[in-house]
Amino acid sequence: MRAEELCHALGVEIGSVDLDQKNVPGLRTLLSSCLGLVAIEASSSTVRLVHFTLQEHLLSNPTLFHSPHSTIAEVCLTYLNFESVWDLSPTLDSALLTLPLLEYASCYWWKHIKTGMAKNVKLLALKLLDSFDQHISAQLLLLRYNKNRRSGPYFNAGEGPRGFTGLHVVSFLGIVEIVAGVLEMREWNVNATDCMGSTALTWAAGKGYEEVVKILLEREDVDPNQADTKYGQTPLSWAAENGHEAIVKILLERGDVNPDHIDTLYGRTPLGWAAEYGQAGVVKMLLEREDVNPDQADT
Amino acid sequence: MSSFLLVSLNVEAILGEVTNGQRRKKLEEMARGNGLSDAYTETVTRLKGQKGNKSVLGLKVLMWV
Repeated sequence: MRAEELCHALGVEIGSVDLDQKNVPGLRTLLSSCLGLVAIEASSSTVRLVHFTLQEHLLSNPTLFHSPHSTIAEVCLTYLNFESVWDLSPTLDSALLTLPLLEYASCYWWKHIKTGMAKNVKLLALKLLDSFDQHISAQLLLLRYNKNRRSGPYFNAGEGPRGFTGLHVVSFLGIVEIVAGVLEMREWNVNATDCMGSTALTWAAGKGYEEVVKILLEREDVDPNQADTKYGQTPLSWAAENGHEAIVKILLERGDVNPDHIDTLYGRTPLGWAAEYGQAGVVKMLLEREDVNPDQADT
Repeated sequence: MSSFLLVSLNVEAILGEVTNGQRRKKLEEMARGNGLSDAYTETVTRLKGQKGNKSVLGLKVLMWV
């Protein structure tokens, strides 16, 4: 973690509505309070434990910290919910200079709730997700996604995250812990498409989040066949392409999912996608169906 | 690296004691102890014993890093 990120993280007062610069500790105070257990890497100004054996030591004494992940999530979410952060335009690049913790908080808050969260942490998360597509953290998260994607950027940063709602992001990241809370939070159009042309179900099915898929499919108003507007692939098509067998099974068992839908961009069926990517299990499942044409060529 | 680290943590711990007698006792404890792990435990204990919010800050840093 970079030094200025850490200083800001330690300067966040839980329950406050904005950052008070006076509460941000100085680096020297911070280092001296650790009695030499923490060092700073001069070349990158990264703060680290003095030796890897200290990490092992700390991990073998888990009682030292009280629910650390929930605490870190609370700090990240408090930071993201600061009034001055909500006021930022989602496409503003320069915000990272004055708010060093912004990128870390945007990209990792959700990982820290995976091991459980306190009730107030959940409330902070829901507050963020309520108008997520107008928040700068949506932009930062999708920029990170672009960067990590081997096949190139998927999100058009210039257009901003509009339409990438709280429901989309929980499906995109598979945050099963709060999907129900998000769905209850308000009236959603569960079939809405985001800035990348995907619905919540498209993301969850394509990325293999089985539990999220199940919860979304329980909704009466969900259209299980709705294709994304970029490639024209249905949720089944995405799950087949990526080899998520359990999800393919769930979708096929419904009875109202078209198993042989031809998408618009490549003119290919789910079987075509599964075959191309060598998803043997999915191919088998699809070939067992009488309503799947095994000879269907791309159109 | 790790042997220098042990020495430096131990010297700090010895200097943390106020009388020569206590320092000698600490030194003897260290000679019996099993190295880094004990030194870490000792340092974390000292860290927690710092006055005011310094102990809170120190623990928080260890949690984040």
